[in-house]
Amino acid sequence: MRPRDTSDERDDVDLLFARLHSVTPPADLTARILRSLPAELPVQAFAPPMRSARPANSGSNIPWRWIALGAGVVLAIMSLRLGGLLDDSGASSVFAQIFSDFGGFLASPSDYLSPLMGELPWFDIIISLTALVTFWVSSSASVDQARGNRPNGRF
Amino acid sequence: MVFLKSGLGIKVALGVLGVLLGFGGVTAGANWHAAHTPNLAHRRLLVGHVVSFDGTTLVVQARNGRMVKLAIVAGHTTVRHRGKAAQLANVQPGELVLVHVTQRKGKLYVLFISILAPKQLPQGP
Repeated sequence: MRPRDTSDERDDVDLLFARLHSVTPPADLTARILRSLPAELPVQAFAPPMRSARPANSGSNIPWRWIALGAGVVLAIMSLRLGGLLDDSGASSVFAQIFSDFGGFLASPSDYLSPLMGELPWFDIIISLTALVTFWVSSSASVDQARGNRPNGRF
Repeated sequence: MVFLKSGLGIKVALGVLGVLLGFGGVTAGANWHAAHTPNLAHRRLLVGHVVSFDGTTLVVQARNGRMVKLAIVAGHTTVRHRGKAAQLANVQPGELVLVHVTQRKGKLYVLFISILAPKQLPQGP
């Protein structure tokens, strides 16, 4: 509302805001607010803004996604290398024979396994299996992490 | 396991994905290596059919079609058939064998022969 007999263009709200001025908050305002809060807050009500305030031992800070990616790359490289090593030693031809005549393999497995065991690249096999397990565990943990970061734990 | 409590389906799918990635890589690596090194120079295990055997020299045709000439080490070459020890005399042309070899001074010596499939006798009328 504007006074009719004046040439002032400002209305009442403008005049009201013109009378306002900022005040300096008390120095202990933040501490007083925090002290006034109850000791245990319901987590659900404050979940979105308090994501970063999770306990450190919840595992949420572990970069599972990057670990899974790295394990997948290691698995791909090691499996390619393992295939080359198996063909180089001739073990791949033994595996091909086992798969093509599985009944014969079951009849006398020692005929196949006794020469095969000594020629398998065990070090590379262990690394590949470790990469596979790491990929599975870390990608599963990444799924859990993605679920935990969403409100109410839903996708 | 704690991490299997929820989202089991997607985690099983991730495990299957990892296994497929591993097997696919092994297959691709083996095929690539076989295509680039066809001469069987470093093979220590051979599966193939016996072409000829004269008591000292064994000639095997490997699965990729290559002929490999192998020397028998008298007294050190083991022969097995169906899980039991056999004699060198049991090795006959036409049999499918798995051979474990070692290489010394450019020559391949047979350590172990496993007769996988004996030669099929011709069927009578």
